[in-house]
Amino acid sequence: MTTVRRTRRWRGVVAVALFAAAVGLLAKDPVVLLLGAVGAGYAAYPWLTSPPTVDLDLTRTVDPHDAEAGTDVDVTVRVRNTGSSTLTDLRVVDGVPPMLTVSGGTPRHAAFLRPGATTEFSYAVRAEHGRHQFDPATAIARDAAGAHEVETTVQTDTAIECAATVPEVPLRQQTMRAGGSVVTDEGGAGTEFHQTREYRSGDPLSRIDWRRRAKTGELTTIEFREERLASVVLCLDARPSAYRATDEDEPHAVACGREGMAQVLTALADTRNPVGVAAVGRQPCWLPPRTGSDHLAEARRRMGSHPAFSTVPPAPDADWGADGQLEQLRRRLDPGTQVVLFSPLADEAVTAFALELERGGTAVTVVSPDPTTTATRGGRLATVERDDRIRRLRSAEVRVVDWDPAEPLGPELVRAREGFA
Amino acid sequence: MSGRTGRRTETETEPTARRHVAHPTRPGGVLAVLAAVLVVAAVTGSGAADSAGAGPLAGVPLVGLGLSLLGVAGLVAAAAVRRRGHAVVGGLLLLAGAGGVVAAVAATATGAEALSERLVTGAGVAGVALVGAGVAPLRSNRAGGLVTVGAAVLTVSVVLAGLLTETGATPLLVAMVAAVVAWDAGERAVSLGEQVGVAARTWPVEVGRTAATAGYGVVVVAATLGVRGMGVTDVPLVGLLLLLCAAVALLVALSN
Repeated sequence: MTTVRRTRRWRGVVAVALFAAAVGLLAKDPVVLLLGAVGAGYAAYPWLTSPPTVDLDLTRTVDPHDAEAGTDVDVTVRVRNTGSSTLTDLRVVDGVPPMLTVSGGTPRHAAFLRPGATTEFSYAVRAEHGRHQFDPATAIARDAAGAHEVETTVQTDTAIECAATVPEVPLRQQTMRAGGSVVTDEGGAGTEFHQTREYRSGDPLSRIDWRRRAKTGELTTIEFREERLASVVLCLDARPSAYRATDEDEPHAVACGREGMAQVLTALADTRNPVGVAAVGRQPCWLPPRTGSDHLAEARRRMGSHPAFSTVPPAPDADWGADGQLEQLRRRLDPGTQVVLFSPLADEAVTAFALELERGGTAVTVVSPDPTTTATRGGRLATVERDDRIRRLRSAEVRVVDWDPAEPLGPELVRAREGFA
Repeated sequence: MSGRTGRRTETETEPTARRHVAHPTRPGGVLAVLAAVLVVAAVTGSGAADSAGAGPLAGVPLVGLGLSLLGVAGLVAAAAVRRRGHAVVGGLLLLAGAGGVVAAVAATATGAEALSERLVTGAGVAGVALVGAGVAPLRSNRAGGLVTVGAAVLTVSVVLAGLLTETGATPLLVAMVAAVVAWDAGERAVSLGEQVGVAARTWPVEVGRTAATAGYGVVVVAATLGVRGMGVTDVPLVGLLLLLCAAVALLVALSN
């Protein structure tokens, strides 16, 4: 995505030219009139240059590759000018993963780059648990006079991996027929005791309670809780209302939700449950639930580069009509699929969506990064509204994980299961 | 998690590592102030040198310029002190800096003998102070405006020098180019400061681009002097009026 802007920064110099020329003419002073020529010369300056073609190649190295949480990771970025024009004023802002903080140096750089030349800069970020994908870097190039500004993004796949803290995702009891790891309330084969019942012919010998048979002569069958597979769709709410943060230095709820989603995806990938990925936002994103490492890689790729997962907050007047996407997503969900929705619950539409899904028989878990603050009056109002939404969802049996992003997600998920399963 | 809480305490001790600081960059700021000082030196120095026959710096209001630069230094120091959290000391330094600037303008505006020189040097020193205040990292949302106003005042000073003093054409043209360069370097320092920040290495871009602007200015001055050598300034006033109309039409066409 490349945009070319005219900066119009040399407009003021026209006024200088006209001022000097007018004064010179009125005072009949040829020397002052001559000064207008300097202004006129500079007024022509931006017309001597044309917007540069920006073709950049970006490589990013991360050292150490597998950092522990809380340690610094050095990031070195090399930018090579693969285009044919000399970039006299290139400004690069690297796409630091939104959940990480820069702990040393600056991820911004300015350089003069000839065709084929390379510039390099490095900075350090503090690693945190999870898999943190870098966003595309933003490059802004001005021509020699600064009259045109070309803005573009340079993508390269880099991630900082740091052991995820989600040990197990507490899925809800909406399952498929196949055997898996979600413990259900139905009796059958499994490991966790469920009940004993009268023997029915055809029950396997191994499940007959032989002790009881020996003691009382009765023939009973032990049933275990059946363990099944669950088909899960992870859904990110990235509509404009979700780009909220407690203050401008903190990551907003979309970044937190994406990060939580990446952790849950990694945890679910260790099970055999089919996982799908969806997002509503700039564009709808939909990847139906499936299993396998290829599918997982595709899901990661989507979460890293699909526009719906962008962590760049929208322009203030952006209107993507994303509420229609919720309806579209609802129609796409197969019966028997359960949804884990990552949303700050910042408005009514997403709450209604979750309630409607739950009413229609789709089990919903809402992981809600808390973007509210009690520091301002508006923040307190938003807190009250969000608490009310959470209460309504919980009373409709939707499982809600109210997640303070400053805390790791794993323990919060486990706590939510203990409280509401 | 301890990572997050650790991060919060860090914001108090080393804010620059965490936040992007949108202040004008230092190399561009220095270049802009140097160019602004060159404007004052060019419009005052050679004119007085011609009349008094003294050294090339005889007419330059050294006291005024020195006070003005001290005032700007006070503003820079005020900004640095305030960032470190000493609001009171920062405020005092801010007052001292502003006082220095006002004293500089007052000293130059009353110091010279002729009214014309007072006007020219006063406007020049005020321009230097405004450009300096613009590139001092105080209020970044006003920085661009201050630099523009400063450059405009410098331009007015150059035009006044052309009208009221006997300064030659070449120093005036050089001063005009220096005023444009001061604005160009200052504006770039502000925009680079916004987009890239003060922590990054920006001097190669700033020096290179400012040199390009100055080089183009030299070409323009040479062309202007060449045209002047052909004697076109002796044409009658009607001719000049037509020339001005043509120039206006050309400039309007160029700027749209």
